[in-house]
Amino acid sequence: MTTQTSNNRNKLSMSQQTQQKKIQHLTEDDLTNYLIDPASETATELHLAACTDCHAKLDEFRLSMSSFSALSLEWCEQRSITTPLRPAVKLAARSIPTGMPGWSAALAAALLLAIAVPMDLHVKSHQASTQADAGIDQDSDAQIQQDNQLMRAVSLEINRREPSPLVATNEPAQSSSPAAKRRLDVSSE
Amino acid sequence: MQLAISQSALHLATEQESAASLDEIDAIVRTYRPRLLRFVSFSIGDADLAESIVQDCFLKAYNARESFRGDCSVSTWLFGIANNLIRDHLRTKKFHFWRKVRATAVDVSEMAHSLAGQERSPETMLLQREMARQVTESLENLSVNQRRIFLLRFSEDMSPQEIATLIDMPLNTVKTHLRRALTSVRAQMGQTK
Repeated sequence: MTTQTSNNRNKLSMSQQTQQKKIQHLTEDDLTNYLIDPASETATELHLAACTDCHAKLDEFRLSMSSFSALSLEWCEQRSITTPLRPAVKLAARSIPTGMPGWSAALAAALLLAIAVPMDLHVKSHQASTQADAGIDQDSDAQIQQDNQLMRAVSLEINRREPSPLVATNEPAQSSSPAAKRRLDVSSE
Repeated sequence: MQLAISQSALHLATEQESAASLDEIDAIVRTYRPRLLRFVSFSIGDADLAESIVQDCFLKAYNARESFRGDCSVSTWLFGIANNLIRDHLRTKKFHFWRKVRATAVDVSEMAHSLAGQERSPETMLLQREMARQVTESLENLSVNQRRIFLLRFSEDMSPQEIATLIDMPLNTVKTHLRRALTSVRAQMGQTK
């Protein structure tokens, strides 16, 4: 009888010990360490598999974080749709990250040359003609001589074919410059 | 004649291949822009500046595309660039000035509007909004370093080792930052006893 009572007491104390072991929940540090790196916390993982209280704590944090992540991502998706990319980024976005293929680089270079070379030639020819114009002195003696010869030739040609009363009106208008005056003198000769 | 046909076929194939890669690249921007924006926005606490940093991130990625050798995922590569840009901005005095003046923190109520069109019960939406608000507020009390690391771990689901590699920080330092951040966030959300 006494033995049976002592056995019962032993059984009771063992179940109490088991219960106490079960009640020994994870500490905050245990949970924190598990959340940081679950792979290295196998003992905690075993406890979590058996303890609903500790698991609930873990779930509480995970639910908060998943809500935050989902909501913030949706917000960022909306912002990404409504906020346009800068033109430079748009351009860059078309070439990330594989790099520009050789053929497209060559095409870009060819296009650049096709635009740049004619422009350069045009600019150069324009510059050359401007320089040439600037280089000739309109009122130089040689130029005046040449003009006078031309005028004489024209007058001769007109007079020879058809004497016209309009010859008088072909005389250049009076000008204040000495070169113009000299031209006038020649044509009236 | 046959040569001409094969040449045109080759040209067509090249064009198709190029178009496919371009589509893929556009997809990369579409996929990562929101995630990068979230990381940068909540790291620095300024949505407008975050947008600018994310766009800079894509430009930098474009300029440094030759250096991408596939050692890591595109995601890790882009987050690494974004992280460096955040670090650079934190160093500038201009950032600190604008942070004081503007303080355009991320608005949680604005965030909640994005849920309006989704098929969720009002209770779920309310609960989600409340939990997101709690996390957002608790993040504001962390240092920028703690925030960055916390977000990489719990929003981007990176392992401590990945984070250590990404931000070039010793693993133990990363874990210390995480421990402090996590303790602080959970305490502020009333999840510790």
